[in-house]
Amino acid sequence: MNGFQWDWAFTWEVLPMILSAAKVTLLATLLGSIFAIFMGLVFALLRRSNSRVLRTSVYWIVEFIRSTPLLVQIFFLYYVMPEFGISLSPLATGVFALGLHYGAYLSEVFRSGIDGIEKGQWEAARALNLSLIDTYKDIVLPQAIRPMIPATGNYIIAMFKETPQLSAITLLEMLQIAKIIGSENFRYLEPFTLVGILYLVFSVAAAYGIHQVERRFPKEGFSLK
Amino acid sequence: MNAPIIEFKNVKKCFGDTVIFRDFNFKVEENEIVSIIGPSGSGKSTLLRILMTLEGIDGGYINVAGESLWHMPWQGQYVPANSKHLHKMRHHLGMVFQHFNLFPHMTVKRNITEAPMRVKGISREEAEASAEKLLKLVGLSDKANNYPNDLSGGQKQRVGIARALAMKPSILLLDEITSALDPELVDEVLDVIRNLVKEDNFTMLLVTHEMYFAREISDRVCFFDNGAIVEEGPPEMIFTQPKEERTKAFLNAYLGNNS
Repeated sequence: MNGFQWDWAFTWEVLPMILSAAKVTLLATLLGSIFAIFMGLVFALLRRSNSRVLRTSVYWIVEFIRSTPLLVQIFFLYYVMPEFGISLSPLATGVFALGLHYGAYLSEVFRSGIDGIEKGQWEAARALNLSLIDTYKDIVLPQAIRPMIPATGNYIIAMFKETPQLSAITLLEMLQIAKIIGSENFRYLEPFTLVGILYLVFSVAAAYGIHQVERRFPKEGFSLK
Repeated sequence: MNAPIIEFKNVKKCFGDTVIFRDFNFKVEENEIVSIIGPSGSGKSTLLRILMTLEGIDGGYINVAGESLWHMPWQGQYVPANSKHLHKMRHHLGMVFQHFNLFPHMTVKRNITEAPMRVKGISREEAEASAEKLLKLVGLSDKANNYPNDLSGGQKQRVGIARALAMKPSILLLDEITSALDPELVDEVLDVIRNLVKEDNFTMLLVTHEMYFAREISDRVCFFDNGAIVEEGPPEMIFTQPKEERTKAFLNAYLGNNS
């Protein structure tokens, strides 16, 4: 079999299937990043809590999530949780696992971003009697976001590249579809190459987009109306 | 005479092993303007920061406007204040900072309206109207829509004053408000304070290195050293006939440099 011969007809035939699977990959990444940003913020804020018990437990939860493989977490959520009566679809499980895993990483990014805000800003907020919530919402976070953008973007791209792990719980994302196409047609070269190219295109585009967001983001932060 | 609006009773304050106040007692009457002078590291700023609840205390009591600042009554005794009590007490106080601490991501106007809107729940229209009055008072009506970084140091500090006043505190704490300014910008800030005390009654506590200003504006001057008031009295007395050697040495060094 002349395995190195590229078959254009076959390429065009499988491209639509791979592209539609790309939608699943992108959807999982999008929902995963929203959940990860939310969880990251929650972890970061809890780690600044006044309660030592809360701070310490969140620290260990974050450490635990960061120090165990994503695949183990995915399997656990998908195969073990149903035994406790929690049964989620592959996509929901994937979003949950990615969000939790990358939320743990992002919490460190957010924490250092928040720590980067000058003490004087906190003191001014307190002297003006702003509540803790208003201080975060109006003073601290709007100024902390810009320095968080590059690292957050990198983690989201990393998350995107880890979505194939969700094929392990039968999510029909790009790589899984490529593998199925390959095994049905006994040709793996084109589908896998296409998947690789698509990952490259999306990653480069995302990196460019993140850079633009950072560049255009007001240097001082922004204020809500 | 009424009870003092601020009273420190046997206050103790440490930073780690460093004792700032050992057994500190201090009173300020209502509408009194008190300047605190003294070498750096003598606890002057700490005094203001404790009043603004930016620093806690390690012993003793402080009363502000007839209520305990750092303690609250609970089941017949005084216990450390919770955040709700501190929130209530902070309504009496406003502070202007050495390094301005303006919010760089907000316009000048928003810097001033933020707290009245969020904390007091005042409507935007009302808050902005009062911000415009305050900006007029500090001579910055044309800068309402600028961002702090467009302003000079003196202008920033005038916004800082307007922002503190917007919350209508009865006690104003000024923490070395001209120390971070270039010399030629000092007077525009001090003029704002001069006008302020001319127009209205204020209890004002200022930590300053501007001896002439302290002499001109204060009802009382306190010379601080090592966390204690070494000498206090009317400005004329402190500046012309200081009794204590430490006060004399400090004033000689200071006024010698300034004149």
